[in-house]
Amino acid sequence: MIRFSALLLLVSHVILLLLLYETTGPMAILFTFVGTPLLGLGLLLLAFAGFRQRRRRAPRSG
Amino acid sequence: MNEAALGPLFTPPADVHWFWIVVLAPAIPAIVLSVIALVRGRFPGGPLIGGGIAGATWLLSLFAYLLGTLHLAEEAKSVEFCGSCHDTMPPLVASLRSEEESLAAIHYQSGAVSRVEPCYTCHSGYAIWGTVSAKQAGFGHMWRTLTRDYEFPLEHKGPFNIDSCQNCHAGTKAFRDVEDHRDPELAQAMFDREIGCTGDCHPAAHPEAALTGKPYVWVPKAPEATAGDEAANGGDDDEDEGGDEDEGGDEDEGGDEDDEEAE
Repeated sequence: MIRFSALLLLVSHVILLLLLYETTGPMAILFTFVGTPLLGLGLLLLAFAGFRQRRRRAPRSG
Repeated sequence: MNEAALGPLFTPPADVHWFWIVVLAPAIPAIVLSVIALVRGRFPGGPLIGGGIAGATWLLSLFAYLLGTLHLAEEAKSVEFCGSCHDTMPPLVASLRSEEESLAAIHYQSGAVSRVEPCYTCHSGYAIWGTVSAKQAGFGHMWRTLTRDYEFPLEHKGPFNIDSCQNCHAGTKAFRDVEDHRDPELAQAMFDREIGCTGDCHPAAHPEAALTGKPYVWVPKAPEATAGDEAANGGDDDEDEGGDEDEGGDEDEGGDEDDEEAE
């Protein structure tokens, strides 16, 4: 899951870099309607993976 | 006309926008950490530090995107940005720079509106809420462009917001001197957003040919033909033009006003 979330974050950042390189209407559409949902999903999965890992570790330490 | 060939005074200063560096500052570490996580399947460091680094990646990514959105909001004001949408906008931008004597072209070429962000100057409302509503409309435009949910000829939804015109014109002598502008009923109708300045009393801001989505080519009006038509059979011409014939005289006056103010 961490790999997949990292991949999503990476793709969304590539789109962000494209926007910085050339701010045009099509790039803005790509950023808004592809990059932002990918980032949101990536962040969600990363947070979920983090919580799952913590829960796994909790019984051992407690 | 190639303005750069006229000399350095005719070349607008380069728009150096450094904000992208600020966006890169959180984006690059987030990219590096994401690549490491992608390759190794976990973030660097042990369980505790790795968790912290994962959290940092999370925050940096979010921050980079928020800054990227701000960058987009700022850059989206430029005429180049507006003109970059396929089909719809390039003809409008070309008409601004042509010899066409449309209201928009007169304002643009006389310097009455910013040459960097002329579309934004007139099409965003007043103050911060004007900017917010312009951005909302921008998202709507992007969605419509993506889904191709638009029709030619392009039309303005409802009357044009008079605040955009009032912002500059309200305090001018030329504006005060026009009797119609002092008519309380007309003013009330304008404040109630029942009518706008352009398309009602004044001509539409953009030429019809630029709203069709086809490449805009300026065709100079033949002066003798126009003068002859007006002198010989002006009434017939008015009838051919459609529903706003009675306002034809007002439209001409509007054009003169703008010329005066531009001077």
